[in-house]
Amino acid sequence: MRHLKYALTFALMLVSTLAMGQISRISGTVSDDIDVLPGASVVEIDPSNRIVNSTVTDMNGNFVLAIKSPKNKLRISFMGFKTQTLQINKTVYKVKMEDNTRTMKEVKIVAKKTMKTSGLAIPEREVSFSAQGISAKEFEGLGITSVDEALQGRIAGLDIVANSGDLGSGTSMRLRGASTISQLGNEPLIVVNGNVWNVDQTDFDVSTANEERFAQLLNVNTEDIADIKVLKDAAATAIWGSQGANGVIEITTKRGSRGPARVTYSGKLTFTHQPSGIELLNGDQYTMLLKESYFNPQQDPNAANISELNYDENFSEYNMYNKNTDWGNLVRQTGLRQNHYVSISGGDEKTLFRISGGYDHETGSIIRQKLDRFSTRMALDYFVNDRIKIISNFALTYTKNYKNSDGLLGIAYVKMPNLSPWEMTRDDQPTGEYYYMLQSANSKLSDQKGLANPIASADLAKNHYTTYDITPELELEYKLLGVDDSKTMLNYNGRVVMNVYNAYSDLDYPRALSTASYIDSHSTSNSSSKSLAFTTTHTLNFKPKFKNEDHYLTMLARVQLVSGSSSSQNNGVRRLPSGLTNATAGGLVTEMGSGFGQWRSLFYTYSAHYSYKSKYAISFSVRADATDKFGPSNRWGYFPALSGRWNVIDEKFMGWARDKMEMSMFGVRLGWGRVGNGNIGSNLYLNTYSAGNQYLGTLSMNPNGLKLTQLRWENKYTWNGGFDLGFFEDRLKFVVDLYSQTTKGMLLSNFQIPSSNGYSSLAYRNTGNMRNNGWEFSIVGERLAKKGNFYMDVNVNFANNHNVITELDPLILETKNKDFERANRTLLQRVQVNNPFGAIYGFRYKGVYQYNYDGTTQSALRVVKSQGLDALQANIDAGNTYPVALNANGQLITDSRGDPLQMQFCYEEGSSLYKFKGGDAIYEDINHDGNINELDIVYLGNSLPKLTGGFGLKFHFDRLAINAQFNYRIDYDIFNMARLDMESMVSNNNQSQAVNYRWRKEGDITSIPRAMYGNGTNYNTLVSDRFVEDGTFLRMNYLQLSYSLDPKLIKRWGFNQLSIYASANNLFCLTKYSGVDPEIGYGGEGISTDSSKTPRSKSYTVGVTVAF
Amino acid sequence: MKTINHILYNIVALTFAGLLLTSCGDFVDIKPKDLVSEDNFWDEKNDVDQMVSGVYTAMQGSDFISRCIIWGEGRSDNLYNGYNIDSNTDLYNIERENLLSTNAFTSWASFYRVINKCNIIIEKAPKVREKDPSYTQDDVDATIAEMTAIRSLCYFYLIRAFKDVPAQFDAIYDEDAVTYNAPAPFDSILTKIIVDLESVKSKGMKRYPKDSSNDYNSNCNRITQNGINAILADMYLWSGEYQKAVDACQEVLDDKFREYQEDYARSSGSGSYFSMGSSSGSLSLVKYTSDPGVGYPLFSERATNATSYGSVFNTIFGTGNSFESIFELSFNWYSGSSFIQNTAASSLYGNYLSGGNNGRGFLAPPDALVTDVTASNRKYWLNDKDARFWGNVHESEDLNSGYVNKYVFKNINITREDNGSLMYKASRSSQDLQNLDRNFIFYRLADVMLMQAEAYCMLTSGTDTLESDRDYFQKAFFLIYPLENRSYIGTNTTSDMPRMANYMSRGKMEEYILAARNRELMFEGKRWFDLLRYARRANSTAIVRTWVTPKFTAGTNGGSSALFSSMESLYWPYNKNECKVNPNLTQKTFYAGAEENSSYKNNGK
Repeated sequence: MRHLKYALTFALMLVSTLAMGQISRISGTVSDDIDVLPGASVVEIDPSNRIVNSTVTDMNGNFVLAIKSPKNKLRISFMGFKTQTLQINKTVYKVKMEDNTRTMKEVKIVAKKTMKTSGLAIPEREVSFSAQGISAKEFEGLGITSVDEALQGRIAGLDIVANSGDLGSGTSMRLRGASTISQLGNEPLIVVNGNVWNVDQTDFDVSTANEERFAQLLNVNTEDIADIKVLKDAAATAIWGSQGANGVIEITTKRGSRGPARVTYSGKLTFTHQPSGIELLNGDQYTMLLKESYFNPQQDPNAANISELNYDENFSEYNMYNKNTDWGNLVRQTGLRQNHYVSISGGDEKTLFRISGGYDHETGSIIRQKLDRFSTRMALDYFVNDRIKIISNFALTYTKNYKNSDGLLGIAYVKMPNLSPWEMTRDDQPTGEYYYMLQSANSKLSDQKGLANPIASADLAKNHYTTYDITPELELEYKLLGVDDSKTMLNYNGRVVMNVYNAYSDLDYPRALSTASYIDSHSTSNSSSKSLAFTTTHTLNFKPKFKNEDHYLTMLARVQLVSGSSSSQNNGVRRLPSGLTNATAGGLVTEMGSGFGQWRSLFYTYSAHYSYKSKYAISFSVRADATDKFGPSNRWGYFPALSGRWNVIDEKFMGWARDKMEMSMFGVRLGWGRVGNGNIGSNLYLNTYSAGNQYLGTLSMNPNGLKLTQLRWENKYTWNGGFDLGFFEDRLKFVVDLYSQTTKGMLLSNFQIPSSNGYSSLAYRNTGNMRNNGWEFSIVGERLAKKGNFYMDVNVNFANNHNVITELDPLILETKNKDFERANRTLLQRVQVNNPFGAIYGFRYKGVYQYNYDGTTQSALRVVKSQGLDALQANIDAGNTYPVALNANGQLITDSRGDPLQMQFCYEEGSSLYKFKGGDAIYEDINHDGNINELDIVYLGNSLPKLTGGFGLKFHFDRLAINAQFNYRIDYDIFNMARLDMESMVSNNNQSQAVNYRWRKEGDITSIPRAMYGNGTNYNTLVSDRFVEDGTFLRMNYLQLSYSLDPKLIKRWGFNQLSIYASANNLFCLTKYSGVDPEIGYGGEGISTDSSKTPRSKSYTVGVTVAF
Repeated sequence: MKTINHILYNIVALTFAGLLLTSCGDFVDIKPKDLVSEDNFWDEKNDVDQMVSGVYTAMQGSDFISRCIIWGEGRSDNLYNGYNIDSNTDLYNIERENLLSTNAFTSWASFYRVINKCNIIIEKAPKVREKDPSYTQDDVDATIAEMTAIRSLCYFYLIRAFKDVPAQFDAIYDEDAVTYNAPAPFDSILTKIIVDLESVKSKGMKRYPKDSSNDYNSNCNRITQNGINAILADMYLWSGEYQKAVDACQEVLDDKFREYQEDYARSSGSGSYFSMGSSSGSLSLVKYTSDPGVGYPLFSERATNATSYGSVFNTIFGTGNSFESIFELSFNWYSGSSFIQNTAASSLYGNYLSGGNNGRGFLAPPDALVTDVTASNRKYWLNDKDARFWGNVHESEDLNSGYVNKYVFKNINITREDNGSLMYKASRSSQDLQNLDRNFIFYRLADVMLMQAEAYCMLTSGTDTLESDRDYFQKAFFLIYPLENRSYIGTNTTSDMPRMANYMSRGKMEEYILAARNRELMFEGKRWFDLLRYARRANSTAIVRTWVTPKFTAGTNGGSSALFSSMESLYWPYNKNECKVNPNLTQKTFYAGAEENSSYKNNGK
């Protein structure tokens, strides 16, 4: 039988050979020493090792293969045997495979651990710039929605602050401090798989763009992330040129790996809740406060005669205004977040793939907030042959955010607590209808009328925000010369990325909620925007092979073109009939608009790295950026960087350290670089005209500002020096960095010019320099204190940043520095040369005047002058306080008649704004002139933290791990505006419980002044140290318990991996700060002002990861 | 290896070809799509026309109009605290004569914005002519005349508000040209703008073709030769060139008469000795009995046996674009695609948002001005049957508090109710508050007549004895009387109307003109400038003190005797921000004292 087959095959072969005159079909047998090998792979490969044709041997080890070209080769492989490559020079083969085990010699694989960034892949020990990485394993199973939450406190010098507790509100990030006072933004660049998110950002103000920036992070499912690298100094970020001025966060997503398809499911369930925050007054306390507050300024009981506060049973709305409503409780709830995530990955010799999909559903900790997110990511690597690889990535994220139309918590904190949320019957039974304040309510309560009923607003108003983010990507890699390190390599990489981002918003605000005025109520609007960008990148990577292997050189040249456009449209109507919720339904059209944007940029990058014996390394890069923002003469920006590293540990004289101290690394780094920023509005270098209103039926054209001829790149120069220390084969690493960054020619927006030029400002001007100095320190320890099944990982980092304005046009200083406005709650901002940002200035608060002193007391005093004066002086000496002027020795200052002078506020030319009375705030009269004015303002503190950072510990016991991560900021001052507003007692807003301790009558000793309705009636809440607090805190970011089950056990159930997690986020925060959260976002030009009454939510997560 | 080289060659070649194509940075050179850039503009007449349109829309801005009102009248005796003025610190301080350099109304940016636009058009228009043959030299001249007039008008406002202001007569396009001008003296600017206007006067548009739509009337909505003459006449009154003022006014009056004859005159009206319209509000020639002239074409309230009045107000201010108008800005609240509202007038005078308040604005006439109508010795009103009182100031039976109706209401109806002392009452429709499209009037016929009267008065020798003096007083009186008469809605002209014999001296006549101007032009942004002009003439603030200080009730501004202490105090301080950004602009010494409080203690680390 076998022979017959051979014969037949042979005959056929012969025929074909004869017919075509060359070999077109071959056959043969594959066997080893003992027997034939069924299932062995027989492939025909072309000279570039691309597979042309293939087959496998049958049960008898036979194969037949049609040959495309005799110039090709035949490759035969079988698992466990050495692969053979044969010339095609005969038609019948008898192949004998050699067992691998027998032929295998000891092979020493020398591979250097490389750091792969979007630039050059450089051996980790030769990296000469400042960068820090973190692997996604670190935050597996944590209850986080975006990766910035995981980064908090992990990267030295990266300060991350959460914006608010609302769903999707994001964080604000600063790497090595704010480097500019321009409006260009200080947020670091986020790069996902080497791609910048190219979405139109010109339409919105960058300073309020946190939500959108956050979306970018939100659109990367944390489960998809493989690792994150933070590039800090200019030497590292210069390859990103103008985009990387504020540092770069590079995110790499997971890709497939060879092996059978592996399915992973992970599910997480997170409970979130809002801590109750500041305690508020109840209805009874509130009405009492308002009564006093209205009475005090006028000393007239009629002033407080407001039916809504009177508890008068004859008042028609009596039952609606006699409650003790805790609005906060009504709008808070326990939020629940579900994250489901499935991924399939695998691959063979030719293909690697990974496909993942995630679905998140979240209900907020505020009622009616909801967020749905679906994300999918596909990564495909196809190896055409040794030289060519085709990569395709696709990512899609759909997010629908059901937001509240009003800031419900904000309303809850100020809404009158004696008001009922529900309409009540005469018998005080709820009718089931929401209660809205009547328009006819007392006009003194007009500010309250403007506040919607928060639960009605949550139920009836609509605010939907939907986004689609789609990023397809196609990439080709071609190894033009050598295929591996053993030869000189020249690799080409071409890539096209498309960013599609569509956003829709849908708002409806019914009439019933507008209680202040029905004019133009019931507003509805729809808007949509779309943005599309193409990024094309060509990269050539050259790596010559030197005969002397001590030399190592690699370089890269890249050109990148970005072209994008965006458009948007919106329409809004008012006065819709109730029931209609779409802007197309009619009504009075109040807004209708469309926008269009277009942007292009062109980047050239060259980068090289050379090292000798891996001991001395030097890196150089330069990038040229062209942008459409500047005119032809200033269009190009060149951003060079140079850095070097000396691995001292490799020197002979360090032998003792290697041997005795188990030191594995000691390297010194020094780098210099320049990066830029030019992210400003378009067309500013041109004189442009745009259409405006009509006059007499003729359209008008109007010039758009002055042409900016001097506009150029803002440049940031960075020096960075540091050293790396490693012990125990780098299981314990210390990294120290020192840096100095100088931003020159800051692009300042709205540069003021005399308006006699026809314009009051130039859109931008390069002006002023600023310097950031700082240092960072981090320790990473892995697998330390190993004892049996126990070991631990440690990470610690801290950093300090100090910024100083070194040069600024005096005119700008003049206009930036506002005068003291002589009003409550207005912060004084000073930007001064050679001073840092964030200094807080104000008065010193010394409590509350116990007793009154005014004209009446004065005339009483005069009757028995000596007694009166002496008694007053004695009283004051005894520590009692009167609003009288005292000299530096604490003696009364008297006028020509011998009367003590009353303390005044801003006395000037015979009149003063206010004379202090009993119950008013005492401000320290620094110059003892009996007048509280500008001259008594002193420096109160600084919002720049001395230290920021975090630390974490991870303990492993066998398969159980406990992970605790903390972050902290030390020694910085916060202006607690939230507390000021909740203790000011100047409006109808509800106040905090603290005001129960207010001054009510003569002699009261307290630190809270009296209630005075009206902002101009008193000066009790001037900016003073009463509200300046130290914000130092230590927060437990998360605590996590994870356990992976015994693989042997779960194998029986068909699982490869089964891990369970439990974690708690924001478990506690140790601080002396009295506000709800000392982690305050960066205010304008640096003063940390806490205006938030919403504490950050706490969350608890349980999760499971299963792999099949 | 050969193929590899080949591929390599191809890729390198392709890449560099790509680079070369884009290497000049052309790739990033994108032109805006929703804007017109300079290289595509200034090519044809249409571009100029649209820029001119932009000048007028800039003048329509709320910040421009509100300054016309506040600078021109806000500090005068006509306006005082209205509804809810406490909520507007700037206005509140103005009404307390507490003028701070931080007050928003010290900002002149909106005026210089218009000035720069005019400068640009004046410079570019001749260049467009080179490109577009259909844009004739006459067109160019007319454009330049129109823009020069508006620029001059802006400067005229500025010097009357601030005295010395930076002079910028060249267009500024780019940041290199930004100037830091020191203020130029009042007189040099006044001379310059007068010379400018005289040189372009004859080139201005005489009359625009009539438009079929009723929305506008280019004859008064844009600057014409009449407009230029009116502005010039006003300027001459300030420069003291009274004969020129008389002549300029005469040109306007002659032209208006011609227009009346061409378009309106009926056989019964033209040339008749004394004529009142047969129905209230009709246009007719009005004059004083012994005036030998033909009279002045005016709308009139007087109609025999009528019981309902208000049409002069309704025609001139309600509907707008009336025959009497010389230059007014046309507003259209909701007409097709244009949405321009006169929000400045509405919020200052009408406060359109406060529904329950029936439209009383931030500013309202002081009570003294309202009660004056029934006083025995009237300062403001000629008599209690003056339709201008009932139309402009008043609405209800309450004779104590007034409202500004002008520029707020579209329809006034004054009816006679012969019951006791209250004889007339006005009513208006509150629906009008929604339509904020009252035109803002800069110059109208009545103003021109009163300016000519003032010029005649000032041409007298001052001795009141010369024959020519009598002649001038008579001429002045003939100009004023028709305006008083046409608004009289009573029946007894002999006892209620003024008599010429009472005004035959310069002092009397000056006083009378000031009062007559105020009655006629109340709330039109003229009163403060009138007082200022009189004060400048006398080089004394006495007249301002006499008229304005009574409005400050006790306590609002402690030492009111210190108010208006020097001529400097009659002008506004320079805006603080402007002083900060312009090193050559130093605060006026009068205001500089209160500014110095910027010494902060800096204990900074």
